[in-house]
Formats: sequence, structure tokens, C-alpha cells
Amino acid sequence: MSSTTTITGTPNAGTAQGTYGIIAEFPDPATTFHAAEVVRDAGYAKWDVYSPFPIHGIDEAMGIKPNKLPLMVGLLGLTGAALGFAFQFFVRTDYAIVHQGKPASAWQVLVPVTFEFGVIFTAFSALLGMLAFNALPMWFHPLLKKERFLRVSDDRFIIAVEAKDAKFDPEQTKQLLLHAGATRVETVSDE
Amino acid sequence: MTALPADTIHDHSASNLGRTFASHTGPIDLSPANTTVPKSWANGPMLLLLALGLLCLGATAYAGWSAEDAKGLKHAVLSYHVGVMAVTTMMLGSLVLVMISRAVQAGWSTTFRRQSENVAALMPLLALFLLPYLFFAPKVWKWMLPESKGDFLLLAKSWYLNEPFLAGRIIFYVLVFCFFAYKQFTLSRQQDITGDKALTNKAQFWAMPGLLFFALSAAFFSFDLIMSMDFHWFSTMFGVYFFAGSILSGVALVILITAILRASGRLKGLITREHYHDLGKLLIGFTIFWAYIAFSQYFLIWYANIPEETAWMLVRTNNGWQNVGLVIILGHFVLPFLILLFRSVKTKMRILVLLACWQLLMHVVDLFWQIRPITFMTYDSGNPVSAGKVGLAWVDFTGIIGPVAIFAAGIIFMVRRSPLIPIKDPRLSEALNHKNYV
Repeated sequence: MSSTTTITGTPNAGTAQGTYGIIAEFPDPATTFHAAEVVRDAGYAKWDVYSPFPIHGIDEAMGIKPNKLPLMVGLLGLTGAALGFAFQFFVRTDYAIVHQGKPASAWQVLVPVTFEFGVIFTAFSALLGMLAFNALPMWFHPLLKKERFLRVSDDRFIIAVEAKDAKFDPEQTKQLLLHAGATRVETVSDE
Repeated sequence: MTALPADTIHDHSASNLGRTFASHTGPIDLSPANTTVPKSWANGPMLLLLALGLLCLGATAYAGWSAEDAKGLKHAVLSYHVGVMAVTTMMLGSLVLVMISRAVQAGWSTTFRRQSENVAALMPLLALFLLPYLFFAPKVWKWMLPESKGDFLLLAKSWYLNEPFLAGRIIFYVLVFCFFAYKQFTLSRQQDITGDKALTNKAQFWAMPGLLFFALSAAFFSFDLIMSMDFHWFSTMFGVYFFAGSILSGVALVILITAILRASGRLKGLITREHYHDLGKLLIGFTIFWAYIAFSQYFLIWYANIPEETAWMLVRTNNGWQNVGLVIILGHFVLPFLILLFRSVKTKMRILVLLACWQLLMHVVDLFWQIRPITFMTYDSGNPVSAGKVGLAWVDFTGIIGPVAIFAAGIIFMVRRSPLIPIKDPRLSEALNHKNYV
């Protein structure tokens, strides 16, 4: 496999300014899957796998841990419900108005607004939290300038390791990816 | 152990691209040891349940027979009514679960669908359980009593609430339920033998009118069998309330049955953590749905404050019945909701099965709260005034356990008659590779 490998880009660019990282091309999902396991086991943290379609089980192969979003959404949802409840509670105690002949102590009227506040806070914290955790909206990404990278939407599988990673070393990372079965490794500039 | 040939596994992942992945389901075992139970499986428990059921029914009948006054007979009848409604809702919930998964071409549910089909196929039991009603119908439906005949509301409703029409409707409901349960069961069973893929399309075809007929029949079934027991009262939400309890108990029941089969060493690798995760999501989803519907019904009645509507709620929130209601609010919704929120609970079988059993129990308590207060109800010009002090007698237990135990024996009988999963279903591989990507 390595006989067909071509390496381009600036050798020994190091973690110098101007390098986004390294992208490695893989021919099929199986190789990509096992390469992801190799990169995971090598201890890299800032890297990602790009594929034209979802690869089943890639989360485990990449060592992605469950994120904190559900916990955040749950807590914010409960906060919303508490807020909706408190809102009505204080209004009712400070400005008690008898309407529809209902007793001022009726708990029933508190339920719909408490519920809706909970739902709205849950929905919005899920949406905004998802955007925040994904660093979206993102107007520019260095990888999209790379002609070859665009093939991940067609027939290529790519693992990109960022130069920002603590373990990143231009030469060693390249070798690691080639050993993992990459057919082509390139350096990407961050401009 | 016969492994499924790799090319029959419809898998988008790369497992058939030369290099194999570590399978998340483990080796797939479709051998009879894993997918069937012997013909004599659980014979002891089945006979024990049957004996218990018959004994309880006998005791209930004796209690009704030997009752000194009309109230004693009514007590026995209504306890039995709670039991029959509990069994019916579980069967209806299973039937609608099967039809929905057929209608939407669900793949993931294939491995546990058979168990719901089994439960739904017990539907003729409903006809059997409803037969004794011929002897004590006026104990269930107050409007049949001579003293109700002059009631102005009954006069207005008499075109609908009369004995021949009611009998006709009940026969119609039972035929509808039995027909669609039979269709789903037999089409699935035929496929076990022939493996004909067209049967899947046929089952989907029959699920469509099935859902339509089910929706209307189940709603009117609840109007006739539960709501019209107090004919002054009405709630357009009641059909949905009944349906919510049905499908919730249907989901809980399939979790329980498959868990028992897994505990007996079957279905290994066929119903996995992933399936239970999704069944757990359905369980919490329908728990929320039930609570939403139950509160909607209550809230509108409370807010509108119309006497003939509030009377039903008033008698059930006084004399200690409010404590039963509180148990239902906390036990049927708040507690399971808070526990099931966590993913770790939905993927841990033991807690999930415990919660499924708990929800089934709470569902019976819910039906008890709807039906049983009528026993000692006192009326003023047709409107319920008081349900009397809340209390339990042994006949409450025998009346409920009777039908439920016979139903449970019926489930064991059905489980061992056919393979535990639809063994030649074209969507089987989809279920075997089922995984949650969240």
C-alpha cells in the first residue's frame, strides 16, 4: 500500500504558524475505522474523521465520550419549569386577582405555564447548546480550501489531525497515518 | 449455533467489506435453542396461573352470589370489570404497537414484534370475559336499571344508550379487534413457514385500515365500557385517555415478556441493549403522553366547572379517593418520568423491567380509580354525590387477579406455540443490527 503513497506539502513544517494540520486519505470505511482506532490509541485529542456516509460504530472507534448536552438540557429544562412556576407564584401572591371564581390557592392553573416554560427552555437549550458545542455557525474552515478534501462528499474517507493537538508532530503523525493504511497524506495550511 | 451468513445481513457498515468490525451484537444465533421454547416450557407456572385465575374468578363469583345486598354483588362485578379492562387495555396496546410498526415499516421492532402479536392474538379472551356481563349488565350500566328510565339526560341519550345497540356495538368492537389481531398474527406466522416477502406488504396493507378501525373502536369501547357507567358524565378526551393507558401498558408488557424470555436463556443477541433503550424511550414517551392527556381531561373539567362534568372528578377526589389519585399522579407519572429520564436506566434491563412492572401495576390502579368508586356511589337526581370511604376488600384482589392471571397463562400458551421472533422476516437483519446513534 505504501508503494502507491505520495507525500506532498512542506516537510517538517512543524507546528509553525500557518499549518492547520494533516489530512490522510483512506480508500474504504473499514480501513478508516481501524485507522481511527490507531489514532485514538495514540492519544490524539484534536482530530476528526470525514466520510460521505455515517460509519457505524465510528464513535467508539474514535473514542468519543458522551457529551454533556443531555445533562445541560435537563438542568436548563428544570430551571425553565421552576422559572415558569415562580413567575406565576409571585404574581399570584403579590397581585391576587379572583377570576373565573377559582380559589387563589388553586394549583391547577400553574401547570400549563410551568409545563410550557419547561418545554421551551428544553427545546432552546438543546438547539443552542448543540450549536455551541459544534462551534456553529462557522463561516470558514481551512479544510474546505483543499481540493482533495472535497471528495469526502463523494468517494473518499479522510482523517484530519490538527496541528493544535499536543501530540502533533509533522513527521510522526504522518508516519502513524501511513502505517494505519492511508493512501495519501497532505499538510493543510490554515489560510 | 448457526451463524447467519454474512451476505444476508443487510448492513451499511463496513463489516462485509473485507475487514470485520467488532460486532456490537455479538454472534447472531438463530438456532432453535435461542429462538424457540419447548412445547412444555413453563408448564408449571402456566397451570398455576390458570388455577389461580380460575380460583380467583370462582371466589369473586361466590362473593357476588352470596352477597347479602345489591352492593355486595356490585362490588364483585366491578372488581371483575377492573380486571377485564386491565387485560383488554394490554391486548389493545399490543395490537396497536404491532400495527404501528407494520404501518411505518419499522425494522428495529422485528425481534420483539412477535411477542406483541402473541398478546394481541389472545383477543378472543375478551369475548369470553365479556360473556358473563349478560347476567349482571345492570350492575355495570346504571342506565339499564328501571329507576333510571325517567332521567331526562338518559331520555336525550337513549338513541345511543339502549341494550340492543350496546350489544351490537360490543360485538362489533370485539370482531374488529379479533379480526385485525388475527390478520397480523397469521400473516406473521405464515412468513415463518414460507418466508414470502409479500406477506410483509400484506401485513402493512392490513395495518392501515386496522389503525383507523382501532382508533374509533377503542375510543367508543372506552365510552361504552367505562365512561357510560355514569351516564350523566361525558368527556370527549376519555377515548384518548383510555388509548394512552393501553399503549403504555402494551409497551411495558412487551418489555416484561422479552425480559422473562431472556432470563430463561433465549433471545440472546436478538433483543439487545439497543432495543431496550428504544423501548425505554417509548415507555417514557407514553408515560408523558398519558400524563398530558390525563391532566388535559382533568384541567378542562376543572376550568369549565360544569356540574355534570365536575361531579365525576369530585367524587374521586374526596373521601380518601384523592389519595388513590395522588398515588397515580406520583406513581404513574412523576416517579417513572424522573427515573426514565436517564439513559443509564433505559439501558439497564433490571431497572427497566422493574419500571415496566410498576407501570403495569399503576395502570391497574388507574383503572381501579376510574371504575371502582361507582360501587358505593350515592346519587342525587342522577348526579353522583359521594363514592363512600375508600377501602379494599379481598374481592377487589380476586376480581382483578382472576382475569389477569388467566391472561398471563394465555401469554405463556401463545409464547411456546411459535418461534420467539419472526424467523424469516425480511427486516430481521435490520433489527439484529439495530443501534442507537445518540
